[in-house]
Amino acid sequence: MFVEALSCVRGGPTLRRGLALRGSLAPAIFWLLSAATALAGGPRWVTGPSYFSTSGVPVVWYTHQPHYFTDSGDLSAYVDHAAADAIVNAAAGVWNVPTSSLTLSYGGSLDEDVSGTDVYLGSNGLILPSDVQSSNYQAKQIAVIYDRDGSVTDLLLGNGASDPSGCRQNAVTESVDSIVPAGYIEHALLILNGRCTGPAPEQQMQMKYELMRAFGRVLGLGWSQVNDNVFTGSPAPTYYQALNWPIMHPIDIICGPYTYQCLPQPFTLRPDDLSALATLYFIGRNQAQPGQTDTLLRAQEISGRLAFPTGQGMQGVNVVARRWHQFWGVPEAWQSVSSVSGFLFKGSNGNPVTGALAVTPETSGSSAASYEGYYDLRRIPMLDGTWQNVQIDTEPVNPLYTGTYAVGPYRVNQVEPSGSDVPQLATVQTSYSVGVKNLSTDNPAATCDTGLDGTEVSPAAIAADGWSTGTLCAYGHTAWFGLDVQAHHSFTIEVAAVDEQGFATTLKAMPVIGIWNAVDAPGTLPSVAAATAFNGAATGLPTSAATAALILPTGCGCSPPTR
Amino acid sequence: MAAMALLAASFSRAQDAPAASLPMPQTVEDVLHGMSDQADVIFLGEVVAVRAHEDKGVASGYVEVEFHIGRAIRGVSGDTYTLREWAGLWSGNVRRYQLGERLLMLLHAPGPSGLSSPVDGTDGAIPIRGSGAAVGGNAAAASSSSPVVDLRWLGAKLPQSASFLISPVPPLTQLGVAQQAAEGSTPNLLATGDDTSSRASVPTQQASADAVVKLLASWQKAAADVR
Repeated sequence: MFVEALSCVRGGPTLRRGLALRGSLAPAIFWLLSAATALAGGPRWVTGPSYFSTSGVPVVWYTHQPHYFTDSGDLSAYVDHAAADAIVNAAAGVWNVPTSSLTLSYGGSLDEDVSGTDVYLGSNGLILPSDVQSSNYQAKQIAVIYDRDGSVTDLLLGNGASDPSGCRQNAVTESVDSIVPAGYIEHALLILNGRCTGPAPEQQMQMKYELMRAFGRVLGLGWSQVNDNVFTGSPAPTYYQALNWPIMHPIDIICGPYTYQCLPQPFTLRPDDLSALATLYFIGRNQAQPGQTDTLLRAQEISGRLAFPTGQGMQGVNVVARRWHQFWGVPEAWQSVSSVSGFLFKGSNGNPVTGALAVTPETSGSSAASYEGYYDLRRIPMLDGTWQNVQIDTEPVNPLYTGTYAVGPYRVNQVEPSGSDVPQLATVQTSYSVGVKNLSTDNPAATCDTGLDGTEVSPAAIAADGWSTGTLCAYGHTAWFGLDVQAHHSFTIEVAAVDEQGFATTLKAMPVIGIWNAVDAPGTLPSVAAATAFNGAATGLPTSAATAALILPTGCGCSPPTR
Repeated sequence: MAAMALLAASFSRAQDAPAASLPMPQTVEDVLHGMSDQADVIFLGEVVAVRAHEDKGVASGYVEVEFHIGRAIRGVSGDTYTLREWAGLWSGNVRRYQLGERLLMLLHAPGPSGLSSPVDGTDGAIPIRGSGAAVGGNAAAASSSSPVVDLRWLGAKLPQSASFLISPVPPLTQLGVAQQAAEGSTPNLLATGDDTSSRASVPTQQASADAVVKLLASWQKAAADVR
């Protein structure tokens, strides 16, 4: 789905409009900067209108003690029921940490040995055993299915999906299948592909690793970016960077047949994982129950806004913390904790080109402007000593972290921040301290003037030579222009997203174009043509082409643009 | 020829990759070949409709994704293809596909339920960039340049070393509180030679769609010849 992500939000790009005009009819053109959103990078989902009844709150489990229930059968010929349960218990147990108020625990067995014969297509959709269904959430919150022969995986994902060659992706299939408007997760499914286990112990360890990461998603955690050079390989990562590479990294590195072997201590949560967990399941001061500790005991929280000089929040920028020991001359050479700016801010509900989208958790998030650019480093653990400094940096989110790998509020594409990083220091942070640190970047886009943009009912005129540039700012901003073209002629519209230096880029705005006839009713979808972002031949360029003779009605060529 | 040269260049990244103990893909072409071997349906297409059917709950529902087919490569014919995915994959209603998105789809064959999904998760839905025809417009009026297939996610499947450098322990230099607490001072803290910026991403790996289609077709022919 699209968010009306705007140029200031996406780094203050300008649009260079090249119009090849041949005609005198009067279509209206619209473009905007768009990026679809998934509210991840900390929480996987955030509440907001209109699906949820609250706003700007991470979606969490309805209970702090969700139970998982395991299939009553074996996982495979190599992993019997007891051994499978041991794998599940170990993977879930990784998430049971004293600084979190949530405890995952074993609840018992499912009523059946779920197989392809228990899951099938009925007249009203898939039929699952009754105790696996989300309607049974009060009794069984998380159903763990042992798919011994891969038949359930094949049924859900297609023939051959359970093949062992695809185990990095299909060893565990995860689904949170009930999120209610109150902002709570009620139920989830985990399907373990038995064909991914085998005689080698490493196969079971890999299953445990995949399941551990799936449990993180089920708990409501999004993917995260910390020490991303471990993934990119550049610069060459150090051991401590790998040790602080979050378990919830979006994409595994592959160093051999088993990816859990590619990182040190693969079954230990990193500080960033603990911080994300604290964002969802926080234990306040003096609130810890037996076996728990206050989340900020020997830790601190730093939050604030990353903003443009105009005051508008800068969204989709990874904010990372490095600890600086009180007796050290430099900070640690690795990042500890991250938060993506704007992670609580609302997504979109479509735009005039795509139309409104269905109301879903993905379109949620707070509409409060204060959340645009807001970040929260929820739990930064302390080094030894009585206090520490924290260096805060900003960086772009890796452009590969989109779609199902999305980190932060943007989903279809990531954005290059406006301006460059300025290391900023939060000093003398002690146990339990909660600080505010507002951030800025060096030389960001400083102005935003959309005064020359038209509106749907009163589009602006295109310059006579067909070229114009402008800056799109503010959430939901759209720009409207009208031009006259003759019938039986064709024309091409090109809109290029450019960066602050005027270079075309795919890492700023994602402009989309719609073309209407002047006589079209306001609020309708484009009747002439529509183009998605970056479908043109050149970088950063969507192209929309139309043939007037085929589409534009004759007889209205001289009418003024009405939208 | 130019397109093939680009393909060769973009596929060359992993030639320096260390040998794995088990057969591992060494090039992006290897990765694509492996995914092709798992796919029963392959085509280039554009998403034209997404329809959710979740009346009986997410886990019981499905989502139909309708594609307009630009190039049919394997297991598909006609102008459109409707992928039916398990709604459980759309947790939280996250839209896995965007209207207007153009993709090289490598899909499993539908199972007995009629459900299917891309090979290797969404890695089997590979973005196509550039030179799209306008929806509702005249395709002939669009740019004549060949589109490219964005293979960066496949590049992330190549093996890399997991031997990490041992970083030096920070020097124990005693600094006064006032010296460190000088709010507003902005020391050049990154001058440690340790740039962890993610600007250094996986190198861009793109190949001409025509070249990729030729490869996929040749692999299919080779497999058929073997049979």
